[in-house]
Amino acid sequence: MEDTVKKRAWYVGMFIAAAALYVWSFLGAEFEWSRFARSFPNAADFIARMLPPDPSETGSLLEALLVTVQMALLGTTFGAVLSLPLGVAASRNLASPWLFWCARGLLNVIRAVPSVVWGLFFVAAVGLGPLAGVAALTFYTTGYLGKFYYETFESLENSAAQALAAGGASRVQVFQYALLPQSLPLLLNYTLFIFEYSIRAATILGVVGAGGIGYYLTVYFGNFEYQKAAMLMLILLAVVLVMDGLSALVRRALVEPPPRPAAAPSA
Amino acid sequence: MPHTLKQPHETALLEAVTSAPLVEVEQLHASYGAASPVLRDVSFSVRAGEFIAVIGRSGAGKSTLLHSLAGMIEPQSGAVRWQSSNGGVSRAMLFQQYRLVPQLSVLKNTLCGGLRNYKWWETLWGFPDADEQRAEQLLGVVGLRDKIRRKVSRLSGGEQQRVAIARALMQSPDVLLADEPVAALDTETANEVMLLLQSLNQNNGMTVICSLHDLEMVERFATRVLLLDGGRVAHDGVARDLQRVVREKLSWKTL
Repeated sequence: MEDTVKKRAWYVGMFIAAAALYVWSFLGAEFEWSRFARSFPNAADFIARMLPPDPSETGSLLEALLVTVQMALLGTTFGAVLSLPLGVAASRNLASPWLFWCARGLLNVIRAVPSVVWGLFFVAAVGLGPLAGVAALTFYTTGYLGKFYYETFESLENSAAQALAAGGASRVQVFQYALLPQSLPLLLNYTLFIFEYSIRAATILGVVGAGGIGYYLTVYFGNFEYQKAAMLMLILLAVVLVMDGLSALVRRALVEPPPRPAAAPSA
Repeated sequence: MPHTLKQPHETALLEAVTSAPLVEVEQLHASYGAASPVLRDVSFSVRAGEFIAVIGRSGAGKSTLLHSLAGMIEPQSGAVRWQSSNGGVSRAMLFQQYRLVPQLSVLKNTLCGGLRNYKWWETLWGFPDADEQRAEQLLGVVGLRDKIRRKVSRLSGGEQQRVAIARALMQSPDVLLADEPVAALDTETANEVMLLLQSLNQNNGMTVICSLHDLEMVERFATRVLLLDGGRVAHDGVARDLQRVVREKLSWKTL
């Protein structure tokens, strides 16, 4: 009886707290419905100036786009390579406590830095161009992949690992032959997701001069060439759709058909 | 008979009569933790070539005993003393749920049994050819030669336990510790797996210590039975007339 009262009080309290949080956020964001109402003519004007898209520079756009995809591929690959040892080091069930805290801390720091800031940092360090973009994407993807990887390792069912350890296998061997094969499909799945995501992130990096198609985005909007910008976004949309489809295909190949029940009676 | 397995039946019997015990368990107290069954003052010894069945209700401490013998848990007091002459006693373990790596092939899973013979960097790029040949041979012994490249998750339960047996044999065990190895299998498949263990025991001199819950199966395959009740040994003797033994020795009267 007392329990239900307590529970109800808890729900009411949570509701009030959530409501207060939203009110606070609306105030902080200077949210006014009336400004939306007045916005339609401006929005319509903006869109009208983008139409029809201007395909005159499609050639150089495609070239820049290719560079963007290449940057994303390299950045994600390097990020994945860095993330594997970091992910192991940041797994509660695999690493010693001090290593665990160091790796978690490092990953948190890396993840706290926005991709654009990584871009600015590496443009300053190695100069303008795609090389800075690849370096920025490497760190940016490491922050996320490292987290995805350690969460995968920590969620593993480890009875096979225990069996190998009981048979005298060392820790590295148990990882290589029991934990890694079990987690590989999930790790690849996450890596593909981050690859798709980093194509979009790479677009933004071009804005700060770290190579790729984002450069044209700043130029077009800076020169009020909205029709060319519209063409750019159409191409970007096409690429994102194609990448989505491709990674769905790869993912389907990774997912196994369901195994036969373990205790199936034999004939 | 495959030459890589242990000595034949006759030698094993002779050894059982003449040699010192393979393992002596003395006043063993052990437990996994607060919630799990506790072994209390367990003492017995095992001679080479025996086929011992460990029976008892669930929670009687069968798994705890087998895991203690395997060295997976440390005794709280007392001791598990393995014979140390002739390079010590090699042990391997079987589990009720096989504990294979489902994504790896039958061959790879078998090869994993030999990992302890190598440093980690020696197995980083795969296994030595000699190991592969031995694994293939052992898979022949357990009757899976034609499924070597098959993924383990595609096998039936009985086949998976055979892979686990081949993996255990990779360690050239003197003793096979089996924790309810056939509990997840149907009767016919269970019989086939038990026959395989029996042949390894009789033809290759491998000592088997195996927890079981089917008394008929115990009488058929075991040479000796260890009945546990509440963490203590309630009976230690030949595996005959077990219904009566259970009735007389157990406080519960049934298993």
